[in-house]
Amino acid sequence: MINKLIISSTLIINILMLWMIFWWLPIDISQGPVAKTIFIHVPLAWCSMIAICVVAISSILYLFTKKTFWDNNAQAFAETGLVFGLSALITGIVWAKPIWGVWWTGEAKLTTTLILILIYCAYILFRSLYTNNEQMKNIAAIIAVIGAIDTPLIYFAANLWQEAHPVTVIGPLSAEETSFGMYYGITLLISVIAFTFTFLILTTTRYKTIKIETHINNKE
Amino acid sequence: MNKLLISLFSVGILSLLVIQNNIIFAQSNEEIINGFLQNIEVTNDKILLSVVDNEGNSYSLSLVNESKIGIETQSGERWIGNIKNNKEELIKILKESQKNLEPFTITTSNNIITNLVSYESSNIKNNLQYLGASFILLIFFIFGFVFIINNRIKIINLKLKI
Repeated sequence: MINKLIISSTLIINILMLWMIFWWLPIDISQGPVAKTIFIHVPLAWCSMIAICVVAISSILYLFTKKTFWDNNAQAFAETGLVFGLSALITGIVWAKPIWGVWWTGEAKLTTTLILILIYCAYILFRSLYTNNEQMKNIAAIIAVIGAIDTPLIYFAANLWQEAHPVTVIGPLSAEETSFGMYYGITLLISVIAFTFTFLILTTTRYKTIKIETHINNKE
Repeated sequence: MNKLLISLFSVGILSLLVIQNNIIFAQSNEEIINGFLQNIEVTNDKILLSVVDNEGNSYSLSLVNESKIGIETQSGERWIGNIKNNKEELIKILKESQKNLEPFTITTSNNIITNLVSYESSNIKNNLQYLGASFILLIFFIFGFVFIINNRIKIINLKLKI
């Protein structure tokens, strides 16, 4: 019952988000329609950064407690985090082309995000190659913990090395006061909620399957 | 999973490659030049412009009666017209643009200017395709992941039956 309620709410929030992006929100005067990419790019990046933090915390707890729950939790968040992180990177690339004139620049924000994706890939590949090896699980956990160092770098990259990517304008650690108008602010809030819910549903579902897979593998 | 990761990267890159990027369109016999004015020479029936493009190449082009012009003035207004409308005003704006090294986008045919407009780094009316591409890629990734989870559940069910 609660599951159905959560899924229904997520669906409604997602529909509301799409309506706001395509119908309610006016077109940005300087960038045009492509500016609306912010409503998928930012929430995706937010979810992927949350994911790597949870992966790191779960990995630390796994290293100390050796409880399978934390290990499975880390894997579930890493896989969903990879999907969301990769989507954030790709949407950013597509957005960059009409605005910056290039698909990719080697600047700090983009490079650190790419590193995060590679860390996710390394973690998942490690896990999938050595499913039941305790030592390999420990190494994967260490990779995740090291990977989490990249998160503050991504967040502050635009502020530390001011290049093409805009500086942080949202959140408690933003460098300057937000320049978003009411329309963009509300839509961004709704899209962050919508994507966070979607992210949590996908992660929970993936966690359940990993839990059963681990159980079956242990029996085999 | 390993194959999937490699496939995801490959498909993502392929999707990007097929996205069209025709922001400024030109006829097949026309050439597009992005640059600034180096010199302006006025004759009776035309204006001769020396243009240097972004790569340092020089062009000698003629602005004739048929040439369409759209230039943003310093006050932010857009001056639209041709030589016939107001030649003196046009020369004044061109000289102002030359002084400010204002970038232009010029379409030419046989060294005769057909269009001369203030350079636009992006045409905002034509970038809807990028927003569409972002959403398509996002749907592809999310539903791809859902498909993988679903596949895993099927495998689990099969194992449990056995």
